[in-house]
Amino acid sequence: MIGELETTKSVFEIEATKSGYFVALVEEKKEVEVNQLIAIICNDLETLNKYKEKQIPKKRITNSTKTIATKKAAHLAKKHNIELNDLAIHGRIINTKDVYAFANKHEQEEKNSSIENFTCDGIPHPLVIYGAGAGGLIVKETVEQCGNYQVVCFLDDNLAINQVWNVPVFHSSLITKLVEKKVKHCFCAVANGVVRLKIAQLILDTGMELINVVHPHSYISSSANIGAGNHIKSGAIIENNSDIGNNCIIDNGVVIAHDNKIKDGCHLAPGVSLGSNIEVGKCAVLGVGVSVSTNIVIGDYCIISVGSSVTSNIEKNSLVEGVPGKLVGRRNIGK
Amino acid sequence: MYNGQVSVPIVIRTPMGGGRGYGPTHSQSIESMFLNVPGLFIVSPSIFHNPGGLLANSVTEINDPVLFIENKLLYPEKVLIEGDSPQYLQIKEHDSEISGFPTMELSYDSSNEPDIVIIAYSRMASIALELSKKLFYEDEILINIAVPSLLKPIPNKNLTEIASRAKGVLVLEEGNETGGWGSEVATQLNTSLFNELKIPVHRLGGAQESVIPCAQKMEERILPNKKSLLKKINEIYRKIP
Repeated sequence: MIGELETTKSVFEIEATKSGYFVALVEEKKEVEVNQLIAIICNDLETLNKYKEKQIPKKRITNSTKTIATKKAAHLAKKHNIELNDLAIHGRIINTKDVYAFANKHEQEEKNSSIENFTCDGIPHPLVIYGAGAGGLIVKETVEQCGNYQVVCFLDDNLAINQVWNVPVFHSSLITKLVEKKVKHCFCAVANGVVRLKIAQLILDTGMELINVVHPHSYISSSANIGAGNHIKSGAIIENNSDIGNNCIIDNGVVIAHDNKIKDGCHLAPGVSLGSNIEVGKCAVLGVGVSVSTNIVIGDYCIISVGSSVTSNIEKNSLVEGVPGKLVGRRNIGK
Repeated sequence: MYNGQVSVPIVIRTPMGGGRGYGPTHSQSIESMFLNVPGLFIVSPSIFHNPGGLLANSVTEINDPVLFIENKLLYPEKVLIEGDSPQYLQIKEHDSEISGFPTMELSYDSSNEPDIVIIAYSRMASIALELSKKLFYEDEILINIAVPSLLKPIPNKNLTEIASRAKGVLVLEEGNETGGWGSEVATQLNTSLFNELKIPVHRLGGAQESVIPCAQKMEERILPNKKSLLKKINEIYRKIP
């Protein structure tokens, strides 16, 4: 027993929790503060003497300027050879988002400097493709087959891609730099129709022109009208008096009979067959093998599921599936 | 009784809570028993509030009876003074509908939306905060703590605003879950945030239908502690889509 604690109600005996050397840190009958350390038990004489001579300082928690990170953030920083102090974040705990943001910023700065050396001098019709994914590569191949333009670089939102098929990839924020480098033509190869339209507008705002990419093995009637920024793929057939808007994807083997109207941003997937006098709304997606009967209006932003057939008008924002096609859901965009 | 023509401006201070091995008669959380009394206010300070200010406001700002309940284990704890809060803790004060009784929101990263919000008052808020720091540091699970000072009427507006940003919500209390403060808060939040919440509001309270033992090891098993809270947080986190 090393002491007694006396309260108004009872007396408690205080037992030693370990064996060792006991030293009282306060004198008898002295008033102490709540939570103040009044005694310790040490393992050896050396520690005992140390505590005998000096007073234990009060603990005071303050906000520190020391850099502190979560375990995941510290591990990630070490993996990417990043010094946590370089993030210059104080007053809060660094997390993995902060490390990623720093790494991306660093990469972007490196990319910014790489475009300084880029040139397309001597190339008569340089073309930049926005979107370095699968769609962009198909566009590149088609452009090379046509021979009208030469793909000089890609633009992409993903900083991690530096090069695709020996063609440099720059971050999309550097588009204005390409205009300075006299690149006048661009193609937007983004899969999502809504996003594709937004990016197409951004491209036009820089002063670049959007081109159509038409595969030599497609057929377009001389009386059909095609807007700008469209991708007409191999095997596609567009018959008399049909209108294709801007930034559409008319995929392999699509058949568009006469007097049809396809609005901006649509995607007609491989094998879609349209009768005549059909209107397909803005940013609609018709899945693989969809067939549409004559005199039908499909509203904006609709999605028609793979293999479905459309035999009656479809309201905008609808999800349709089946033979005959039935409404199975609604989309939220375009409201 | 007098159709509001007579007011009884009285403040009753009383301790509550266990954790000291004082046994069943000195360890209860009595506030839940008074939730059903019309016209009664219940205030509970924590180290994240200004207890003296809350007591003063209870006397001067409320003309009705106030039950001012204080958790015994908080008596020796230091109140956080502005500018002296634990390392990297961000504290935001939300004014409640009754001025002078704020709800504090504690976060280790207020710039991001939390995974879970724990609503806890008094000593339970301190336990929740300790675990919140550990989980953020080790697993980047962001848990914000909402600490109301006013328990009745429930500051629904503050708690809804804080909880609406989270994917999961837990109400933590020392008293029993059945008929407790947490059950009323959970019901109100489940109603006001029905379309926003990804999963229902969860609760963690003291063990059901049991007196609080005197033996400290047994008392630890009955009252919410870091271990039972961690288990509950894991359960909620796994359910979040």
